[in-house]
Amino acid sequence: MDQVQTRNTRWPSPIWLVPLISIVLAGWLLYQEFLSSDQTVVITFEQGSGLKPGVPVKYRGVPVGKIDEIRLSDDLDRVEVHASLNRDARALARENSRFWIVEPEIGVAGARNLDTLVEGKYIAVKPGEGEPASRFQGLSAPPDQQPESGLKLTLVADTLGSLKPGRQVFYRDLAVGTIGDSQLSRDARHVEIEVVIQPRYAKLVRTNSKFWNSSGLDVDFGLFTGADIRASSVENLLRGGVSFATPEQAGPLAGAGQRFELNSEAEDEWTEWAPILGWQ
Amino acid sequence: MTAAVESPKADRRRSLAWALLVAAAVWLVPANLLPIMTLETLGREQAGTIADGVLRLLQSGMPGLALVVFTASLLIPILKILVLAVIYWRTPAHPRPRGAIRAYRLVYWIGRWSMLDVFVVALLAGLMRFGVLARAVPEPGITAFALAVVLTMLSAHAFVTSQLWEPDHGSGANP
Repeated sequence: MDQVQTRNTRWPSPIWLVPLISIVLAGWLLYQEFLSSDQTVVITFEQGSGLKPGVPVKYRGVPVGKIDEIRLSDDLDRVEVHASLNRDARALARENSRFWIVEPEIGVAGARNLDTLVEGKYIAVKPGEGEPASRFQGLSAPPDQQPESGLKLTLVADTLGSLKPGRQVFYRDLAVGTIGDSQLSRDARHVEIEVVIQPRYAKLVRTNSKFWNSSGLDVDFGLFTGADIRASSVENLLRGGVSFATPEQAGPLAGAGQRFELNSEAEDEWTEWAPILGWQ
Repeated sequence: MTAAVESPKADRRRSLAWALLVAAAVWLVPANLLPIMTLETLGREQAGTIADGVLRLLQSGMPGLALVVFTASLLIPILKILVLAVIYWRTPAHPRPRGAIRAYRLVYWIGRWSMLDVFVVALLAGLMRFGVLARAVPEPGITAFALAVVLTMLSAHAFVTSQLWEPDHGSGANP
């Protein structure tokens, strides 16, 4: 006769797969959140105004992390920003990575970073090369305005005019360098302005190059000639800048730290100089 | 041990209820540890777990609301699972009709209200979309929470209620 056979299987009912899968999935979620946690970095800034916990760190305009907390350094001299970078952005924390605070810039020559007016300041990062690192010195200005690499020169001028840090140095109206900090000379008769020429344009500067302040208008008004107005470019006119030219008989390459006189305007022949310089 | 005594069907239902309850308990861990929602206001991100939400309510001077959220979202899901576990554990051996039935009915009835959190997050995520001004983004924690609640309800549903009032059902033969 037929017999109903109950089998006591060694294996538990397949329904126990549900808690098993739950354990695996929940464990994976927790692992994602805590154990493989984000890369934390410490960035020190001189000023931390506008920074708060939760402020994003952005790379190429995309958030890649955020500030966890802000502390003062032990000597109260600097601000230590503790930030965490997302896992996919860990590669941004390398030895030569640069961090800086992006803030709105509004001036006659235009406005930049206007999004920060609404969303507040944020920290931008430019990845560097080298070993992974977790402590960084924050920059006070974006890296493209940093006078840290390139040919450093000192211009000596009578007055500073509108040559603020971040303004540019032009060669044939092409921006080839940046103006850095300026200070009064020791005898207080001049102003010394630091400029940095980008490394690839450094060969354009020779010992006999001439620098002049190219901001402002050059107006010649003659009774018979009429008005003759010259300005190097509208942007230059509004923002201020320094131009330089090198004579036909170009001298030897200018060395780092060389001093040049900053003329208040260009002599006519300077603008006509067109030496052939192998600048590359 | 007692499998030989119980009918295979009741046994299957029992292990189903237990398995679902264990899964619910597992999901409750990430539900309480992971953030359930990120609020983005003016570019600031604020991710919060359920406990964060309760603390924030408390700090902004709403103790009553904090208590409600604490009870509904933190306490009740845990208590539900504990109560169900006790009922499942004790019923076949020590049927205690009155208390057990009442507790079971309460848990069964309260189950649907536990999805409140999930609805709040779903509504906020759907409604708060003002671009950079304000945004609510659901986080994995709320999914875990929803799973825990649903699994608890399914587990309570899988439990064979007749065991509660049939003392000799199951392993009554065990001396």
